[in-house]
Formats: sequence, structure tokens, C-alpha cells
Amino acid sequence: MVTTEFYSPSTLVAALELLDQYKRQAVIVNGGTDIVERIANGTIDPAAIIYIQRVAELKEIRESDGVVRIGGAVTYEEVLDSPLSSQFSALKQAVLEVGSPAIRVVGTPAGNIGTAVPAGDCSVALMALDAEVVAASKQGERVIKLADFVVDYRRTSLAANELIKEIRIPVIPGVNTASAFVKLANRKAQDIAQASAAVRLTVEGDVCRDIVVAMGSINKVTVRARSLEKIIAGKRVADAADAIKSIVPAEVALGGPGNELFAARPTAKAEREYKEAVIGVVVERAIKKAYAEVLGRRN
Amino acid sequence: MPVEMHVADIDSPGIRDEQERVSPSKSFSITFTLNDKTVSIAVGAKEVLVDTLREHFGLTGTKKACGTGDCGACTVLIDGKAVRSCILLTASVAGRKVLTIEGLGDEEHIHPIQRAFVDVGAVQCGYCTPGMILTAKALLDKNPKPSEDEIKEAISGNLCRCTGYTKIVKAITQAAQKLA
Repeated sequence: MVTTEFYSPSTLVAALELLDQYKRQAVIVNGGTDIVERIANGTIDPAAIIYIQRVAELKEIRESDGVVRIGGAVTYEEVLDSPLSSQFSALKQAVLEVGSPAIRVVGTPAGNIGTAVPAGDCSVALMALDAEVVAASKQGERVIKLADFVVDYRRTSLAANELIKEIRIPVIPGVNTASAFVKLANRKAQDIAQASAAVRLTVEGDVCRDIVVAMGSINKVTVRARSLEKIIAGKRVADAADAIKSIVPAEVALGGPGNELFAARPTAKAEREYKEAVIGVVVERAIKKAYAEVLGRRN
Repeated sequence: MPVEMHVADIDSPGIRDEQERVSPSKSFSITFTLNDKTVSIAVGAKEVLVDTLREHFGLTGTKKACGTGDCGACTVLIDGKAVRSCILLTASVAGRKVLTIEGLGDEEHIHPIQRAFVDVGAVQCGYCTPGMILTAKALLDKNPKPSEDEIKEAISGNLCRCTGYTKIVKAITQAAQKLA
């Protein structure tokens, strides 16, 4: 029987070396707010724990070449405290809805993406902000669009020896672009989204010139609502919002092949009816929230 | 005729089997500051801080209620910030400063926040109380004059099943005034 080892590397090179050695026998503990519970109750049983909060290179937030880069071990609280993130309203709003203050002190956006659950608030916001993930291994780095990064429930496209080094977000280009995040949950804090949406909206006058929409908790992964984006682009914002309010976007998938995990739940039918009824409204609210930010700047 | 009585074997294999299915942890030494004292102990790789505090150090003021990081009863301060000790690997606090409720004050040296909770009547069963008090301390150290909304936001992750929160918010407000 294997004895679980604990490692606390202080450099990225050391962390990647360990990960290359152990591959899927190791787990990365970042903030740990999801995974440590699973370790403590025996749901997962790794041969090694690689704790990355001491890796200085992963703790930076910086901007260069029109991109804000958030290191893989940056916590939610550090994101909120950084002046570089204040332009991304969707991100700030999403982070403030995650858990509670004590969770935000240790939890991380990279961990949220890596955990790959459909309710991940931060992931939904980052997807609307057109974020990219930089995956690093001993062999090198590669950049993956967030929309392509999560492949299934709790599964990402990270190779066995890769970790998330950085999240890259293109800067908000000007006063006509704004983002927003809306979460529908039973409680005001410490709760999982029943349905969530984030948008990044660019307007010309009162017409939507470009929009990115992401949705959470309505599929086994967080998804881009490309079907809605097509409907909204080119319309007056108010008209677009009204149009999509009662739509059930094609990307909503609760039940059916590949979604057996959800369909097996005793409440699946009721949840599906509820989520299909509210998701359009949640997206509409996000659009209006982002638009209000643009209008607010004009005054 | 003698009747055979079958008494449940309290050493039944069920729980042991559960634990044996999971790998044992590598044990190693870490050093950290606990309630202003430097301590060095052996910990397991998978050990969580709430268990270390309660079982190794006998500091049972920190409670393990949900065990999933959702209720706040296990709250301790690490480098001044309120965190969930039930989902924190003990190994990760090496070199850090940990404060439990015992380190804040006791009957002989009561801390103003503890005093306020008692005076206002913000304690019923007491289970959420250490977590609430430490969360309040982290708040007041950072924001000495919080608004009522800021207090509510700060304790939004601490569940109380008894008081309805009103007295807790009042106690923290009162403590803030005393400490100012």
C-alpha cells in the first residue's frame, strides 16, 4: 500500500518535476476548498499531494500586451484586491458570490477552472470574458481557450503532468464594453448556483455590436451560449434582452445521453423544468447589468 | 434452554475497513506558531487542521460541525485571516501564525469581542460562537468601524441555528465601539 506524500515546492520547476514524476497519482492542492474535503473524507486517495501556494511564480497578477495574467495560485481575495481586475466586473461579481469570505481567502480561480464543475461561478465569468488557460508541464507550455478547456464533468484537457500556470483575460477595450455576472441561488452566500450567466457586451449607441454569453449549472460543463449570441448581436440591447428572456438556449442540456449523472437524481425532472424556465431570465439580467455599466459611464 | 444473545461487536470491522481502503499518510514534522507559541509536531500528509487542533493539542474550542467548509464552526485565523480549518491541510500551515479561540481570550483574560457576545446575549448553544468571534476579530482588525452590512457580509459564511443572528451583529457592533 502506498503512503501519501506531501510536497510543498517553492518553484514552478520543482512543482512540474514532481507532477511529471507522479502524473495522475498526484493531486494539486491550490486553495484546496474543493479537493481537501475529498481527500479528508477518502473520496480520492492520491499517492502524493503537491501543494502549490508557496510557488512564487504562480502568485503574480500582471498586465502585458493587452492581457491581464492571473497566476495559477492567486486567491479570490487577491483578485478582488488587485487594481488590474477592477475592469472585469463579471469576474469581481462572480468572485464575490463564491462561498463566503473564508472560502475566498484560500480558494483560487485556477482551482475553480480545474475543478471543472458546471456551477463554477468564476469559470462562467471567465468564459464570458474570453479567457485562456496556460497549461504548463516539464516539457513546456500551451495556451487553451477556456471554452475548449473543460471537456466533461470534473474533467479538463490538462495532460497528466500539466497544471494551470496562468489565466489570461483580454483587457476591456473601451468604454463601450462591459461585463456582468448573475447567479440564481437559494441563499445569499455559501451556496451553489441553480442557474448562472455572465456576459461581455460591446455596444454602439444602444445596439449590441458584440456579445459573449456563458452559462453555468445548466449542462454538465459551463458553456458558451453561442445560439443566444447569434440572436442578440446587431439588435438594440433592450429588444435583445426581451427576445431571449423566455428562450431555452440550445446549449442547455439536462438529461439525455452523456448526462446520466444529472438524470439519475430523484429531483432531475423538477430541476430541469426550473432551470429551463429561469435561464433566459438570468441571461437577460446579466445583459441589462452589463448595459447599465456602460450607460453609467456615459453620465 | 439458554437463549443466545447477539450483542453488536463494537469493534466491528465496518469502520476499520473504510479507513484501511485509504492509503496511510506519510508523517513528517512541521513548525508553526499556535496562539503565539512556536510548535513543532509530526503531521500526516492528509491531516486537516481542525483534527490537529482538537486531537493533538486538545484545543476543542474549534468545532467540527459540517466537515465540508460550509458552516464556519471550524473557523480559525491564519496570519490574521479567517479560514476553514476542516478543509485545510495541517501541512500547509508550516511557518504561519494560527490563532484559535483559546488564543484570543479566556475567563481570566476575556477579549472585548468575547465580552460583547456575553453581555449582549449573543450566545445560545455556543457552537457557532468561537467561529463567529474569530471572524469578527479578523473583520475588526481590518475594518475597525464596519457598517451593519459589512458585518453581515463578514459573517455570511458562519451559520447559527439558534440566535437568528441579530444579537451576534449587535455584539460585533458593540465590540467595535469598545475597541475603537
